[in-house]
Amino acid sequence: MNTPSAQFDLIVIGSGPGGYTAAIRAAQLKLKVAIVERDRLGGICLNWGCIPTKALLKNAEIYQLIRKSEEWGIGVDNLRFDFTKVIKKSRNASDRLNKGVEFLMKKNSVATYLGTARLANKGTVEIFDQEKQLKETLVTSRVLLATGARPRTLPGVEFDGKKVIWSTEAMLLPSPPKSMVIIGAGAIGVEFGYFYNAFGSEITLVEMMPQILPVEDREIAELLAKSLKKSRIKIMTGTKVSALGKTTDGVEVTVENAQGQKSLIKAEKALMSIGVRGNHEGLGLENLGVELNRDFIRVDDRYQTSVPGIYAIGDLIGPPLLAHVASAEGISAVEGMTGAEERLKLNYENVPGCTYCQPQVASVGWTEEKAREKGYTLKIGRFPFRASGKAIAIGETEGLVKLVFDANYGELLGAHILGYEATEMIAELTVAKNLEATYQEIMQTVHAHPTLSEAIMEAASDAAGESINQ
Amino acid sequence: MTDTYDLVVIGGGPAGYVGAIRAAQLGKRVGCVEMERAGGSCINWGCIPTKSLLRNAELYHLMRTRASDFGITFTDLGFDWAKVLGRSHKVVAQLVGGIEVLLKKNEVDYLRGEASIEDEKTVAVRLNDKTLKRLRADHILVATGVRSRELPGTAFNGNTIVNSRQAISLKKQPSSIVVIGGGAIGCEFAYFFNAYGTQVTLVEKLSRLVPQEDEEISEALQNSFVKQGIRVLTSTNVSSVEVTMPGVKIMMEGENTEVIRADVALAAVGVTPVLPAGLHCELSQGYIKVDDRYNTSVKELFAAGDVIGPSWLAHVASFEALQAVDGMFTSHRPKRIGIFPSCTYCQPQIASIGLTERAAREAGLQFRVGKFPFRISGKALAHGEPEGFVKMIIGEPEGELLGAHILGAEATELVAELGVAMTLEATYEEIEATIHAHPTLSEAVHEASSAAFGEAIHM
Repeated sequence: MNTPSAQFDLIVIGSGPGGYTAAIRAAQLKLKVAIVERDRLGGICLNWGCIPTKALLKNAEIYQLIRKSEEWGIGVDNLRFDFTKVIKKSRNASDRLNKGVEFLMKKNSVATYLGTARLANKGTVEIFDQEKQLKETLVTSRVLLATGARPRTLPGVEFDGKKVIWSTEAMLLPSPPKSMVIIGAGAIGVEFGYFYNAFGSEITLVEMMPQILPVEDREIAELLAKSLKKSRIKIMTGTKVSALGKTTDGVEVTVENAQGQKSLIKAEKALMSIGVRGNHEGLGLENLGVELNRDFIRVDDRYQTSVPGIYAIGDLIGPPLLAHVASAEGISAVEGMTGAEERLKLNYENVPGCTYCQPQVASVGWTEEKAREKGYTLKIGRFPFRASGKAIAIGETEGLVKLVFDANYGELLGAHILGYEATEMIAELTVAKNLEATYQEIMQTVHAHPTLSEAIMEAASDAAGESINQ
Repeated sequence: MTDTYDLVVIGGGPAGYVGAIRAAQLGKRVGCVEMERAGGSCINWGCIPTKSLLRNAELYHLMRTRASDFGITFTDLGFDWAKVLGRSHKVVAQLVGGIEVLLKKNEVDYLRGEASIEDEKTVAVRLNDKTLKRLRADHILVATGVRSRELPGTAFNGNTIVNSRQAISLKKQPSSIVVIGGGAIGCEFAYFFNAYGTQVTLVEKLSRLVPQEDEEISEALQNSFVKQGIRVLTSTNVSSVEVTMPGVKIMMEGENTEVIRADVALAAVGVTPVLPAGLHCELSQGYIKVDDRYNTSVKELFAAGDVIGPSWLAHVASFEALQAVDGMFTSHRPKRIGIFPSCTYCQPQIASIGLTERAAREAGLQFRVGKFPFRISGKALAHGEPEGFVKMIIGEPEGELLGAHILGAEATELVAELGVAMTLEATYEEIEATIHAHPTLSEAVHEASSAAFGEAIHM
């Protein structure tokens, strides 16, 4: 082993939203911190996930809007898009934020090491370069693992970067494929389906579960499916993939529905979005006895692994696989290990989830089905955007707000929004749920007119049987 | 003939129709009298058509200036003014129809005509067919609203000197316009006309635009407007407006002493109450004076909405009407409204709630300020909307939220979170402990709260 080149209070391995946030918080708490990244600062989220996809989706939205600009009294000829520029714009957004993380690391005096990390023992981190040569040996009191996850594929199906691709590759295609079959209709599958459909690809979404977006409220998922079908996306739910073969010009996917009927889908490309597994290999964890939980790392309620002094957060420890959860876990873990007053008590029941297709989906808390399973008597309130003044004025009338309350105490148990800007509206309900708000309290909150958020107040009133505008 | 009601509401705007429906939900027999169209100023000539027009302007502006940023190209961009306005009129018609359906569904007797108060139990309505109808009422709710004030010595002519109501129906796009008054309405129209290529001068008597907002917001908005090509003149008074055929001649004094000629002058310099005939109750500066139950100085006469004075906001009006009606017919103790958001829908949008920094200082409060600019928000960058910021005013030592001020895309939706938080008396720690979805613009609210205590992650 080399002589250690530096000593730290905390070394964070992985610089995604979990890792870099933890590093900054630790620096704020006066720890001496290092961060190790093998690819690009910012992780999947900034470089290959949340951020570039949102740029792409906004682009698709604007293109769709311009295609319908005649409804607004605006006329154009020869409407075209330059797909290279569409992709480039999304890369620019990633690059700027990537630079931003670099700046934040410097500003907070977090030592940044580019390379692959390996734990020689629980207090020693070795860093290797691309040629697998040992570059540095660092000593630390604690290690925080935040190495994230990577996409899974089906048994016997391999990614080839051309015909069978995963999300990162899907955001770098030179042009929209003529057709694409998307296997797995969670948030990622649905977002790419929306995006490529908007730019003219023929899309088939295949989902094993009975509904698309299986974690969302059934009513919302069904309404979204209806909307996507109207924009000519093909949706096959309750459908398994039984074989995937490559042909000269694409893929052939054999699928089987719940009744056992088989059919064949041909497409230029197959995008696999069926889930992820934790990146726990190659870190030397096996030798240290760090316990796993299936494809992920097992941690306690302060994010410590089975080995004291080694912590893990984010996608690496399993669902919910969300950037904002990873960041919150990072803060919570650091505050826990330093004994700092716990600023952020992470309640997994109060984590919002978003899907950025149009109409957007956002939710927090329990679905109606889950609340019923738990044995609650419910008061459910709804308000459709077609009755909202703002939605009509801006021409975005699809979707609804659905709020699930406990009938006894009136407490908000779950909130589900389908519609334009749903992902921004959910913030109000997340705050409300954190404050254990009731429908009466939401009704008593003056909502600005005309806004889409008025639909939240109206849905709460509907639960009370007092909605004015429907 | 005389019909008898538990409640007669005079005015069918956001206070009137909402109050009427609420009373009907409580099982009361309700009449609602409207002199023009259901929905009042808000739906017919205010909030709703302007939001339709502003969205239209946003789209056109995006296509004119930024489409190629998004890799989208086209030729021969043009617009049809009549269609632009026509869309907003269709939106209005749909919503007015909607309210009429709601009134019917709730079994409210909806009468079109001009109401006058004969005595505290009787409302006389001159119906549109000129017949007179008397309504006997146990309670009367006056919700007659306000109308635009004229410039001293200058009458609106609907053509070259217009108010906001007339501005949404101009037959043709003016090539130049002077907007007098830099409040929310003036700023919205300035943005709208400028986006469509009209040469816009925006004149404000006070030293800054949107004077009721936080000073930093005013400053950032003015910078943005100037960059967009709007000429902004603050601390400038319009001394006279003359019709010159064609157009108008506007004389100004103050910081800018000059004479401007333009096709149209739009005055957005405030409002004046509309009082029903026969109203005999106490007033305060021309507005109807009410107590905490929205009761006027006359026992069974209540009032709500713009006619009882500022803030002149539709959502405040609706809330007041609900409170007033619940107070009349249930054991509910009505609340005077304390915490409410205000919105301006130009781009960048403005939304705020609670105290400005200056107001907090003048009240002698101890507080901290936290700010987060959208140019370092991931979602804002991904969307190409990096303008603006979130500014939070947080009290010390308790950490209560005193005020929030947002400038930027979707600001008017982001403020809802702070409405709930302030109504439930949340502290900044509770905002911090709330996980905000990534990537969203609302993360900036979280970061701005943390920034007040040096704990923001992204700055």
